[in-house]
Amino acid sequence: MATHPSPAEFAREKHVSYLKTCLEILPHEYESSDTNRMTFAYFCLSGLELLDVLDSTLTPERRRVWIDWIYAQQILPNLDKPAENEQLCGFRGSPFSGSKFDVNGVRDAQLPVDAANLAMTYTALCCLLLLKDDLSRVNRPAIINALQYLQNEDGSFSQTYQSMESDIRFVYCACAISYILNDFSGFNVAKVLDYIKKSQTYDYGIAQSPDQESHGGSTYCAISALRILNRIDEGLLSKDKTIFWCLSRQISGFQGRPNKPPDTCYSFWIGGALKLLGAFDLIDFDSNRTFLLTTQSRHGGFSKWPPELNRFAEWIKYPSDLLHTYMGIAALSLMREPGLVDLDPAINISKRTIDRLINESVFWRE
Amino acid sequence: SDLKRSHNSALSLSTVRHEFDKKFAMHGRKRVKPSTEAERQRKEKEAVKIKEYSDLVAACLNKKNSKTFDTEAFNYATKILSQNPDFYTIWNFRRNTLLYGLLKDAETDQKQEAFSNELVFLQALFQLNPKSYWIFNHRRWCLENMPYPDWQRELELVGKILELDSRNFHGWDYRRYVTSKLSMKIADADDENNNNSAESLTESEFNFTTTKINQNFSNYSAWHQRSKLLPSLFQEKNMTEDEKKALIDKEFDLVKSAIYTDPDDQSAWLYHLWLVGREIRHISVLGAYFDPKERGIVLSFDDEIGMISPFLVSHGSGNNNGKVQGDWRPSGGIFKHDQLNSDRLYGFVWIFTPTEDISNSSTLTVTIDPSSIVPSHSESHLMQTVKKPVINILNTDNIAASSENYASIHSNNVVAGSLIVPAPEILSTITQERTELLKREISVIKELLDLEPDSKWCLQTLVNLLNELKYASLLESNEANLLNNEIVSCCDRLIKIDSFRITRFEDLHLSHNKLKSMSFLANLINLREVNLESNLISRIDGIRELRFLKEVNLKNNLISTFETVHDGLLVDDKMVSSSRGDQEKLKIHLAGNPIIAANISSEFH
Repeated sequence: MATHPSPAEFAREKHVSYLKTCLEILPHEYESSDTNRMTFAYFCLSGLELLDVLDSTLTPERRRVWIDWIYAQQILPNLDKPAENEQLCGFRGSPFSGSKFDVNGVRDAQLPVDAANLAMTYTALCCLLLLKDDLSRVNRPAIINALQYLQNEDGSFSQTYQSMESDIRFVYCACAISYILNDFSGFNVAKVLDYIKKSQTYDYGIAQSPDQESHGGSTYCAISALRILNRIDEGLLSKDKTIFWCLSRQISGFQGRPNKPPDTCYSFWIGGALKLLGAFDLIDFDSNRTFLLTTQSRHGGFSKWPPELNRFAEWIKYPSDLLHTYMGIAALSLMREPGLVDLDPAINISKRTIDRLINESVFWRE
Repeated sequence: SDLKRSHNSALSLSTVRHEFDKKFAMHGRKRVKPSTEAERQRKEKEAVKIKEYSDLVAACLNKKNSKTFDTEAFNYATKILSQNPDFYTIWNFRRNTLLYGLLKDAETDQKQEAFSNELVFLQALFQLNPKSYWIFNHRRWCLENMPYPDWQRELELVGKILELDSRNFHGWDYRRYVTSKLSMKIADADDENNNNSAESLTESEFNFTTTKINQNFSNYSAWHQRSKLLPSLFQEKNMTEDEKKALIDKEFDLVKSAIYTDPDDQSAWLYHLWLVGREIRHISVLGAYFDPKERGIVLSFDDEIGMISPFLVSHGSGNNNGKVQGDWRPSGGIFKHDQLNSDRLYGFVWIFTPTEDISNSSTLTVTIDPSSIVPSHSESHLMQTVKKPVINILNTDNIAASSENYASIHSNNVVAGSLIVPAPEILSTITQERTELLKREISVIKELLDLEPDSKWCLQTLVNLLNELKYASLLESNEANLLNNEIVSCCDRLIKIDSFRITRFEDLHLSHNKLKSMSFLANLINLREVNLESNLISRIDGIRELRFLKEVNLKNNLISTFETVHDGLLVDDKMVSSSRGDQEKLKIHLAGNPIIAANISSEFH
């Protein structure tokens, strides 16, 4: 019987190498997701930080160039008529729209082609913090002001102005952004609480929107948002039953919904949720870790599933990708894997980066 | 016809797009290692494609900036979206191109054809991207803007989607959208004739979920959908209590088949938990006593409560006598922003300090008004109850603590709004019926447990049911005690089955505890540090398998022998350390033990 093709130990050097390579150039499969490029940068930088090699990876020159690139994705109020594009302010994922590259940001964004995106704003701020920027070039009033245009009547958020896609994922982004910028005046908190309450299902898991099935990713987003707003007890219909739902997702690794196979990233989504609910100690650490190690790729990184045997007794291997690589590392950090730095489960970057946010960034240290 | 042509070119482009499909990067595809020649050719092809793509986007932007919503612009959008479906602003642009350009002054027929073609275009893209938000969003937009949307056909389409993947939540969500549109359409038509049809749509959806469940009991999405439809059914059909009960009993039958077919499957168990539902949560006073040192009353609850208005404290027994002036504060209280929109102190333990002289009263009485309490958990809302608990407390220096008159503040579980759980509404109102239901389900589960003695879900569910049944009996009664014993024995069995779920201890401080043995440590597999100083331990035990353990403080115990924890022991007169391969050494502090006094030297291995 063939031996399992995944490394039996945590192959940290391979993951370091994988993330560093992606930081230089993304594999071609990521082309069609170019609008999300900022999140890929976040996976690389935050992953390297958790592996405690970010500092040694970055030269001051590199750092400066990347910080400039991120600020070049910032969409600012139009110079002559700021009210015209205030709904679009924030960060976009990449220069996909073809606008001129300017490290001082975009000053003439056009409706609706060049618009900021909540998930990109969140990851841009995280990347800046990881690169040790103090956020002094971030236009906080513009970002906070834009939130009112992105929040819908039911309390949910759209990811970008006039987008038809709105759900709890962007509620989380709005809360995380407000936390990082230390300003919660931009949206209606009561409506958010209402939306979160309505998105809980009969099994006390939390769905992406009311009526939908409860799901690991949205459960994390809701609980994390509640934690950031400091309203966990108020927002959850039954904290105990939600904990029970989360714990029931573990079947070696974690599944995202009942009767689905375990998937690397849910070790973070569900694990993080449990950590925020104070019940992380109730999981089976060994099974979780063993599962995660089997989803490692021999070429570095993590994939969503471990290899499986087909009927010819050949191993089918799934390629690794940035999202699952980062989530695998984050999940191991939650279990305090030796060699990994501690993770802040609410904002999903290292605790020491949050410390730096609070002590050194312009929006907190005042 | 312009539009049609552009659609066709989009379809051919999308086969080319296969090569660039990023979806497989995230969803798993077998990777084939290419030869270097093939690699080079691929790169060449790519360079061409990249230039083509950049030119396309630039051209599209030009159109945008000049507000030229013409056919060419529309074609650009088609080409871009076929290659790069996440380019969200181009979807917006496409919609604008249709609305303000191509269809601005169009006839109804033209509009209908254009939107129909959009739906065909989307269907082609769907084959490659079955789990994408933008397809369903754009589809909704088309249907809402076209003159004659065919909702029935959409329903059939989504039925097929769910055949392909019954767990595709985009599909289920879209299905709910389509059925809501269908029911609106039916309601809009002649009310008299079609009143029944609108209702029967809920019923037919309900039957759809029944079909899905019967195909596969593990179809969690179908059970979930059912949980939404059941309450709607009650409402729509204006059911009598008996009718509701009959329907719920049928639900229990369905669940019973499911759990018997596969006792390990979560879906049915979680649905069962919901059907039984309604946990009655009490807030109880655990104890109350007068603390002579504090010269005050100490009250403790089993929930972290907030006090809206202070509890009445009066002289003597009963609350008819004069009020005692004083202040309430929680011990170790924390501020929370609560459901009543106030920032309030919460605590498990509350202390009353009188501000007047109480030496003349041999008894004090605390009266707790349930409406003056805010519980911590939303699920334990309090309502006014019939009984106001009254607690008599002896004011005397002789009795350090007297916990008498356990008072129970009973509450009915008022579920937040009608968001969850209306289905068993009927079950909560009549206690006797509820008790009968609990007993019936308990016996069903016990039967299954006989067949499957190791079923963890059986045991978990049984514990929940027995626990609630306990509340139906009086606290402290014989019945309650028997139930407690049963619950404990179920829990014991669960611990054996689910033995890896042991609470994780990392650091333990157990000094000065008169412990005679340390073997219990063996279960604490994640232990890093333990302090057992000044106990009565005579043997180093239980730490052999603890691979994260770094330090053990055993100073001042009774150790006179020890066993090898790993090969290679190093001894000095204060500390025993061992090496475990390439890991850090384990440090065990042994000062003040007989073994050190006996002067063991380094020749001991």
